[in-house]
Amino acid sequence: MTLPLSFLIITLVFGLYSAWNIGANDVANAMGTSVGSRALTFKKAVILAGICEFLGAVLVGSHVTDTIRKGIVDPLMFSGNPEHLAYGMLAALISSAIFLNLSTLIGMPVSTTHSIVGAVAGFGLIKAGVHAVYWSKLLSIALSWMVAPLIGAIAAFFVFKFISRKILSKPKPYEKAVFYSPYLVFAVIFVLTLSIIYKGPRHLFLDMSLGDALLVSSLLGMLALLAVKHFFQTRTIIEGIADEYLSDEYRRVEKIFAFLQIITACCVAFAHGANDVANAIGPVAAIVSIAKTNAVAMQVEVPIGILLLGGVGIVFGLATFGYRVIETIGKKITEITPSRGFSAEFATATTVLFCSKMGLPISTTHTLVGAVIGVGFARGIAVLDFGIVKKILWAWLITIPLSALMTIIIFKLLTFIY
Amino acid sequence: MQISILEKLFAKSPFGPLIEHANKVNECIDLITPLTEAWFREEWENVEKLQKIISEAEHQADIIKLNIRRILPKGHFYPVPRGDLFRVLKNQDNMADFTEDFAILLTLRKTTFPDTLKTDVKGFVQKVIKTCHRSLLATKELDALLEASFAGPEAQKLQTTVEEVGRLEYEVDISAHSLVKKLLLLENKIPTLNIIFCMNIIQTLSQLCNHAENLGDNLYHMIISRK
Repeated sequence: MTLPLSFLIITLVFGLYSAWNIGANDVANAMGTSVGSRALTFKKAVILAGICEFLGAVLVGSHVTDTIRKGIVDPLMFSGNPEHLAYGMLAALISSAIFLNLSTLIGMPVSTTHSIVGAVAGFGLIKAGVHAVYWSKLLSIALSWMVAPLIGAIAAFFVFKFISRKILSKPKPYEKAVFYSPYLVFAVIFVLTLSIIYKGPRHLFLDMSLGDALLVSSLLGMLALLAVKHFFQTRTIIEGIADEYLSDEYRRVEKIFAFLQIITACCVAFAHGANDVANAIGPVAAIVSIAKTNAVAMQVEVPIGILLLGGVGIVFGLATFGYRVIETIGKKITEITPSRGFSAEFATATTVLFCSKMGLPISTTHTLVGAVIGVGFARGIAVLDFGIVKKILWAWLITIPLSALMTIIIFKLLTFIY
Repeated sequence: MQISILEKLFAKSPFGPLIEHANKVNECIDLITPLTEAWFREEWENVEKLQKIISEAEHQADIIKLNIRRILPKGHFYPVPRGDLFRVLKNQDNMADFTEDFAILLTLRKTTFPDTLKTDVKGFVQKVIKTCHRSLLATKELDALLEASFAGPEAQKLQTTVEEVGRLEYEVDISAHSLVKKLLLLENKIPTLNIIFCMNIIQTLSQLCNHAENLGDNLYHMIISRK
């Protein structure tokens, strides 16, 4: 049997809605630290977030998308009746959307990533049995949910320790900041470029081997390094950021980090787009490929059109609703300066991009929370409330069974309708 | 909305309010000079007026103190030991209290020091004020210290200030000692109650200084404890 047109339309609508949700709610977390530290004005943050989220989704989004559509549940178990897989994927999409809205209502810190993974695994388990689920893959995903924030924390700890030792606690921090910032930019650009071009999308000719990719990334990083060096050689920063408590010297140091933080903010948005777009379009990609071939196909690349759909959905969510969330969150996170924001964002972007490349769907927000805590442990932040960590763990435990259960109910409904 | 995660991770910083508290206490300390002058000129109405202003400032400092206590819950993570934050607050609070005590003492009984000791007393009071100013200045550096993540020249600066406060407090002790001695030499010339009263004043100001010294020590312990 072929999939009815109405089914495809519902799929696209919910895929878009899900992407809209990500743009409306999640992006704010990615940009919050930049607006909070006043490295970016709210308007610039929204525009940059839109561009970078879109690029991330289109350029790197396919890896995690592949995981969602065929890495958690074995599609071949459905080769007899591919429409069941399609129903299941739509059910997962709908249930994760409902679950997210419900948890938002009661203020639970639920991750889109966790709910979609729980949904897909749940339906696979019930419909096709224990053997349909790739348990080792699922385990590595579950592990990555704990490991990613931890790695984010450790990385941010060391990045900030470096900045603190080499710049902030030196007698002339401004000179040191000028000296070290080109190298920091090198590191950021290197990571970002590597994530795009190593095993990148083939249809954009960005599919390089590790050796080539390392070489090109180093070259681009060097270019950025030289550009930044030249920039600081030709001009001195006289006016620092506005902060009544800081001395003039520190204000100028933080101004430099405010520049650097613009780059890392883009990286976080890029990484977020790369990892989280899959939550919306992973199921869509699975359904579309079934509709096209009328069978479960394993080796098809994620169509660029679907990645574009996800990117557009996220930007749409950002433009209609997310911008307000960024404004609110930026006003509330004021206890952070650009040097701290840079450390946390650099660590987050690196961790999330690495996981994206591995095809691991993780939560950008949780990783960022880990990174901020890492900076806190390096004595960089006045006070942190760890209460939220406990809440995240609880939400994490509840999300998977509940979204799995909801998916099964919706699945039954869909099979009843079609 | 899902914005709550990151927003809730950041709690309200206690450092800004601690500095605000130090500024309030500083206001009390600043009033000691005009108060002493009014007292020596025996302008009792003025003394009473200044005491009221000091008590009002002390009360405002108390309000800030209560606010700080509210934003220092146990579960939060601070870059410095939480106990030290409380001790810093407690010592600043004590400094305001003893300043108020001193002002109230002056309103209780129309007594001044014998004329021969007035210069000594003025010098003593100036030393007390200087010690307090120095240690409160150290608190005001907390924001810069946080920015430098409690290391480097900022930390060194604090150490120097704290050492200076210790030295100043020692000088205050010596002045107090010699002042009491001189006072007791006059025991046959002035009424005993006057002597007791004057000794009380010296003692109150000495204690004010002890708390200024403790404040410095707390601040120092606070930044070296997690190296």
